[in-house]
Amino acid sequence: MTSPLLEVKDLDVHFGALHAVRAVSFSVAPGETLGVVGESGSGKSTTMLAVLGLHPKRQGTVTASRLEFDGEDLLSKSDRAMRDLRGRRVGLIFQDPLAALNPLMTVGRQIGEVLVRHHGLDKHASRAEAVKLLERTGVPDPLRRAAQFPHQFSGGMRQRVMIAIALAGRPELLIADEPTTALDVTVQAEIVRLIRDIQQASGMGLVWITHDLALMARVADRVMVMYAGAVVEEAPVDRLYATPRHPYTAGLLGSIARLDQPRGVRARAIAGTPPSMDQPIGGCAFAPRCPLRFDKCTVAPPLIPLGDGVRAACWRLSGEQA
Amino acid sequence: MSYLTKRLFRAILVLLGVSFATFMVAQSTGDPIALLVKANATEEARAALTSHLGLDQPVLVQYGLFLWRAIHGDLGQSFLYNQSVVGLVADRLSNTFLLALSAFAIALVLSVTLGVLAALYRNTWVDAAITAFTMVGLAVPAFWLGLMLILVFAVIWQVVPVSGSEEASSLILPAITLSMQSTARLCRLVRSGMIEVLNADFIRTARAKGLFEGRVVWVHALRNALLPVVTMAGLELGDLISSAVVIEAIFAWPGIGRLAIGAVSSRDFPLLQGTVLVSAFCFVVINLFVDWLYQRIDPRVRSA
Repeated sequence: MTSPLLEVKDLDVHFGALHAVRAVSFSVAPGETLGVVGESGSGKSTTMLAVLGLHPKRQGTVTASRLEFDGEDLLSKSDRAMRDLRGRRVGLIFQDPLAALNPLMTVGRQIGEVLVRHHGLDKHASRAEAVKLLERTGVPDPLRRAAQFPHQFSGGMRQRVMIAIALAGRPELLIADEPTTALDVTVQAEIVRLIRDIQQASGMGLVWITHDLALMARVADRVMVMYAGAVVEEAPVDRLYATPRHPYTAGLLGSIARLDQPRGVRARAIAGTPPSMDQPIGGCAFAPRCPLRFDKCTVAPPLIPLGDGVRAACWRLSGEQA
Repeated sequence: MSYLTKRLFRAILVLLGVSFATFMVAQSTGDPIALLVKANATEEARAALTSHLGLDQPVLVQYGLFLWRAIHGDLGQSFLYNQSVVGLVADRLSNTFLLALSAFAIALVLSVTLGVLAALYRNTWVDAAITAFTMVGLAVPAFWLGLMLILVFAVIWQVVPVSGSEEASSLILPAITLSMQSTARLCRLVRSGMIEVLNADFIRTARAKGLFEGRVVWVHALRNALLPVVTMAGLELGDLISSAVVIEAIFAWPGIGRLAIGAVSSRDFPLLQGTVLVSAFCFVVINLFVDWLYQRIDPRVRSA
């Protein structure tokens, strides 16, 4: 196995009393796509922002026993060194491209400033390069479009601009935070194809955050399922969909409406709601909603290795069932 | 109709309204003849003066005549000074502009600097100190502040003149006094605008690009935070011109405000109308400028 590009071990994020991310561990190899799924508030985005040092120091506390990018420890890096890393070696794509772009700056400049900052290009050269990046991300008429403002673009085109910004630094790792959630279904497919094509061409590592399980099945190599700020299951994509091991994963997969289902069979929702994160969670966080809970679930389960790269945090899998 | 044409049309309507209102209000305050003639003047002398000044005509005719002349750049003769109103106003207007624009410049520089600092260091002692400063700035009446500044800087330390406009340094105290309220109001607007914008997604994008914090704050955040400030600043500049009345009185600054006060107390209708109309005209022009500026800054307005 190649050495991982990003390696995270026991990452915790606190916002005051709120324990948003709980002992999360994962790694991403070059050329690999790690899918991260979970419902809103499960800590998916918070985990990735924490890795990149994007939480304001005064608001959040980030701790980890290991946080390495390409073998370099990120926790001990200075603010300046993290800024050198972000935008250059790690690119980010956000969910809502309209909100994520500066409304008062032409898209050409928004792309170009990454090149000025990280590759030492002057304004003129960065502009020409920005046009090339727009072309590469499939924006028609890039020369004219570069001089326009975000509000003059459609949702899909804006997300292409966002991707161009993320690619401008020629990153080794791309973090895509629900890149297609805010888009029309037809546009979604194009954006997914674009990101995958770029990844295949450049061989960069990719972290794809989504709550769309059908999409995940198509894009990810490995999937990490998060619930209430913690990882409940991690598995290669085919294993996860074929045999989900954690009851929460099984519940998620069961809640997808399928066209090939017999008429009258309804998608099942998981009963209940996720726990509030500002109080300590005793035991398994999913236990209150779990159809399989038993007395052992009052103690938090560890991630149990189940072979073939599958890990799941459930006492039912530990072999000491009641 | 384009955005600016619409604004221009509205501006003309505003000027018409203002001219009519001042004309009517001035008419209703009393008879200027009583103030202009000696108490023992004959009835004939009074009548002669009345007809000479055109005051025997119906009010609407007087207004129409006034408007017709105003369009041609003639605001009539001052009863009091017996000079052309245009000449009198133009003479004083440059002084008022100098004072108001200086105060405006001070207000802009101070409010943006302090507002950004307060936002960046919100909920720290820096923010608390700046907020306290703006509270004082809003609460203290300009006439009192002016007197205190005169006492400290002109009387005790004697670093600037007490009043007048003979020396360049005479401008300092009245400009600072005048700017105080605007500084405080704009500062709060910059602070709240910056706090909002700093939480925006595109600021997170800017940081995700690895940009330096200086660029994030001063280029990406500030320009967006300034959008509401630009609108407000236009109103403030208009407000500064009218607030200058009080300040001019305290510092014996020979501006349009003192001219207007004199015109009110002596019922010098043409002069009063002239000063008000010219002030309103300035106000309208400033607002037109702000609309144009807004359009330059925010591309979304341009294409709307």
